[in-house]
Parts: sequence; C-alpha cells; structure tokens
Amino acid sequence: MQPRHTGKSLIPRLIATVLVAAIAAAILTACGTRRLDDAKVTAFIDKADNAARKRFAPEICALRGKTFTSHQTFHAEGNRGEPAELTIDRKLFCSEAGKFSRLEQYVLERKSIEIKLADDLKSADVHAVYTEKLPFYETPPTTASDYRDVQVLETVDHSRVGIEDGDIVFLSTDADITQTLVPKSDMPLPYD
Amino acid sequence: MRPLAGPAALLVIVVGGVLLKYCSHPEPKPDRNFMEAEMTAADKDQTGTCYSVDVVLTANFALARGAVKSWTKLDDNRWTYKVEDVQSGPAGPVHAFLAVTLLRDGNRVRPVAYETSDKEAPSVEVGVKALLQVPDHFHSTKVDRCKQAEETH
Repeated sequence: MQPRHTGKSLIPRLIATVLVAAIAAAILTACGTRRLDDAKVTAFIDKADNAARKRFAPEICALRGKTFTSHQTFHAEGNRGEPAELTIDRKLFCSEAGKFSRLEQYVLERKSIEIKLADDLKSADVHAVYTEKLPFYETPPTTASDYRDVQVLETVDHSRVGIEDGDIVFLSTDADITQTLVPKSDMPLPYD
Repeated sequence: MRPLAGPAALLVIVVGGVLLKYCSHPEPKPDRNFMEAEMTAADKDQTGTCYSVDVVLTANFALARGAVKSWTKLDDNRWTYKVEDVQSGPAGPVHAFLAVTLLRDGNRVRPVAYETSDKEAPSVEVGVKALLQVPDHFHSTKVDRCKQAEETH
C-alpha cells in the first residue's frame, strides 16, 4: 500500500519544481545567440530571403528589431526627377509586409552577399544585391492578374544586423532600388 | 498531487498575468473622457462641432486599410493622433501621413496642430474643417449636448 502524500511534504517539492523550471528558462534564454559569425549571419539572411519569398508578414516582421528603420531610394522607370526617398519605422514596415502578402506572383533572387562583422561580433553589416520581379499595378487591382507590366527591381541593399533578446535581427536597412518595367507577355511570372 | 492541481493552476495563471502586465507594452491612448469629449472646430471662437473625438477619428480613418494609426502623448492633456501609410507616387513609394494634435480644454478637446506629408499642408482650421465633413456626411452620432438641442426643436 502506497503511503498518501501529505500537503506539507508536497509544498517544498512544488517550490523545487518552480525553481527548476525558472532555472531551465534562464538557461534556455542564455542559450540564444551571443556572438555573430559569417555562418550565422548567412543563415539569417537565407531565412529572411525565404520569409520574403513566402510573403508571410509575421515572419518578415519578426526578423526586424524593435527600433528597426528602413530607408529606400527608389529610381522609377521614366522618372527624370529626383528619386523617391522613403524612411519608415518597424510598425509601418510590418504593415507594408502585410500588403506584400497579397501578391500572388513574386520572384526574389540574391545575386551576391558580403558580410562584415563588427569587432565585438555583436553586429554585422551585410551588403547584398537582389533582383525582384513582381506585378506592377498602376491602379488597385480587381484580380491578381490585373497588370500590364512586370516590374524588375534591382536592389542594392545595405543592412545592419545585430542581436536582440538572443535572436539575430535586422537593425536597419538602406536600399537603393532601380525599377525597370517589362510587358507581362515578355516575362510571365509563376503563381506560387 | 491532485489536491495541489488547483493551486498550481492558479499560480500559473497569476504568474502569467503578472508577466503579461509587466512585459507587454500596450499602445498608448488617451483616456475615455478625452475620446468622448466634444471636439471643437479650430476656429477663433472654438465652436463646438457636436462630434466627439472618437466619432471624428472613426468616421475619417476606421476604413483606412493598411494605414498605421498611433497616439503619442505629449502631456496629460495633449495628444497627437497620426495616420500613416506608404502610397505609390509617380516617382515611387512615398510616406504619406496626417497628424492632428489635440488639447483637452475643460470638457472639450481643441485641435491645436495639423500636419500632413503634403508639401503645402493646410492650416489647422482648414484641415480640421475637412475632417468634420466626414461625420457630417455620414450623419454620425452627436454628443448629448447637441442631441438634446435637436430634440427640443
């Protein structure tokens, strides 16, 4: 016959369980990234590129730090004036990522990547060149196919990545984007 | 262990609630009295508009899909409401925004500043007049003072 446990003997056991759980949580937190290296940053950029290809806004947004800012200089085809300059914070960036998820056709190719780690290995500058292809909607579309041209965006991207709460995140991005418009009959885009 | 299951669950709920309270950062927003106060026009006489702050902002911006709306507290009685978005311009994407600063003045709220991303932003008086046209158009709910006045006529 098993002796019944009394409440008195179980309370210290409960306290011990809570303590063990707290210590385990602290260890798990400490296990996050503390220093960057080329492999970690490359894996992070691969993950970010894949999140962009999926157009999954929560994942795109989660890879941006709390004080993330995005600046872009946009050279539109046919624009002879000054390029459009856009600076947005994380909140507006995440809202834009939500709009991005409505695109049914999108291609992202990374042409090159260079990583320069900071001396303290806590941040890195990433210089990457991308080609993006997506529909160019002149007016809000009724269907995903309501476009005449595909816009090809050649993007020279300078990003700063760092560590926040044990995770690698983008701290800022500065992109120089050149747009070319191609008739969609000349460049069909895959639906994915 | 069974007698302790209830207290343990309670402990988890309490600890979870405390962590949520101290770890989350809810968006700042003016108190209910501020939101329900009558907004004045930004004219010299600070004429009552018959619409609460909440009604004016909801009528204008509730359907602004994809726009980011935020409040910034300047002091206890002064708040700025900002609506911002990225829009397609002829030269590429542009940051479009509208920000109106509101000051609590007794039991009313007075617009004191109006800014937009347009190169030639209108004055606060003109900007607020445009905002008031929307609840007028939709026959939005008026504050009690104006409802009572309408009923007596």
